[in-house]
Amino acid sequence: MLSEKELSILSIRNLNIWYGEKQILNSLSFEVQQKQVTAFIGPANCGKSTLVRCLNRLNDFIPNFRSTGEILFNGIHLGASTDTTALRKQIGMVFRKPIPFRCSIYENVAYGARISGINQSAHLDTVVEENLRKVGLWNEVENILDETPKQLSIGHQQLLCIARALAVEPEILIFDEPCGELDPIETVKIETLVRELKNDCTLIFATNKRRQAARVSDIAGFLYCGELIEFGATEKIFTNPQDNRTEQYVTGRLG
Amino acid sequence: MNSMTTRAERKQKIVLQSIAFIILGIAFVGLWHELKDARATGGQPASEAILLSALSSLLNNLYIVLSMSLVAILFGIACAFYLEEWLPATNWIRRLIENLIAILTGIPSIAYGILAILIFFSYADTLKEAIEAFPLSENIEAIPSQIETTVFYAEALTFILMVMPLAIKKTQEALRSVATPIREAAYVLGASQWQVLTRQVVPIAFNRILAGGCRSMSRAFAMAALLVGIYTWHYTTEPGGMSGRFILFLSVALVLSIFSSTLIWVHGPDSAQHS
Repeated sequence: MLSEKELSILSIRNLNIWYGEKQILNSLSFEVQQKQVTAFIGPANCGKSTLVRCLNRLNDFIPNFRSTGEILFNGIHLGASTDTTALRKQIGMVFRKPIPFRCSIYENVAYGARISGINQSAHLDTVVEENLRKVGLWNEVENILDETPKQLSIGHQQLLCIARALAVEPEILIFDEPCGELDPIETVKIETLVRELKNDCTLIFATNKRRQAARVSDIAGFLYCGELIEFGATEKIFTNPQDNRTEQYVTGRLG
Repeated sequence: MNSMTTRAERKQKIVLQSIAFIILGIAFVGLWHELKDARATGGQPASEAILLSALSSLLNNLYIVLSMSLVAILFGIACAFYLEEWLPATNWIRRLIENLIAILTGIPSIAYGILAILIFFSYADTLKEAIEAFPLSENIEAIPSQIETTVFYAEALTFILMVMPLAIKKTQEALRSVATPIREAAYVLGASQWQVLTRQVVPIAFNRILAGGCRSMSRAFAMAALLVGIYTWHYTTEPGGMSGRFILFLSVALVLSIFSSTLIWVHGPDSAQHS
């Protein structure tokens, strides 16, 4: 038990979230373990995106967003005084829809290094090659690094976005339904990649595909109507759920 | 909820447009009276003539119109950035300014031209007395140039009042056209607000901001053309009645307007959304 506590990188305690008057999340508490894949499953509009966007403070841009409770990252409380720019360098994110920037493939991957003020081309070259290799895209784009990412397939664009996020060297990488727009073959690539990335950083994975969560995650949480119904080892959630609603969801009778 | 807000917005828009049209009506009636009186007395008081000729000679200068509107536009763009990117949407100052902008952009440039003339007409004597009472103006020869300076400032203010709101509105629209996901994609890589603005938002919105600037400048030239036109029509006995300047300014306004539309058209109305 003690060793588990030591490995916990994110602790969420009693988190409540409102958009205006509407409560989206209702007193969530859980711990995210280091170097593990934590997946959140649940039907559409159950608050998965809201939850993961909370962790890197992306909800701050929403005008009537309000939250109570505690989020501890490496034991440090994320409050109003947190430096969100530094925080987001440590907690990266990949969205449902790949959003490559309008610059070249090279500049896309080098973006994180450039904004940190690194401009030596030798260093940038290594960063770009290393991260493109990591996502398995280097062979495809090696000769078209100076061209726009628009010509890549949507799956390759998503891989590029993952490479771009990895180039910042985050401690935690959040995937918000990364395969929502991809075909099955590209989905398999991303899932394999997620399993591999586990060795480098902690991963949080939000998805509404239960089988995908079962394939990629070590720990899973079932969200339903803004409540965390069940949270624990993926195997246990899928084979021996404690809550009736979880069982109904994983067997496909709910949501 | 959504349809409710749009209905409220539509109502607000109608009110603002009506205010703009009432101002336009007042301007036309006022101008009509002024010109009728001037014609009836068979000439013009000396001060008015000096003022109008000062005004006209100022506006006759292409570079002055150009530089005045350029300053107003650049200032407007800066204002728009501040309003859109730094002030929250619920801030009362921002809402007040946005409502004022909605009124000011609703007024056609012809109304501004007429209002400017009206103000110069009405205050011509006061202005002259004020300048004469000024200690430096003891030397009588200095008066016309001082009037010119006053007219210059008054005209600059009119330009700012006319050009800046449009520049602010167009820039705000351009900034809003940059989709939120693009900003978020940069934020999650740890970019600061300034970096997101300079690396993502401005490159995407640049064409639209440029188009907005051209549209605003076109408005300035349209007003200048109008003032020059009225002056020529009223105070000179030139055959034809239209000066070359009038035509020049009008064509510049037209070209700028077409250029700005083309910019938007070439790059697509929502190209920014998809990139």
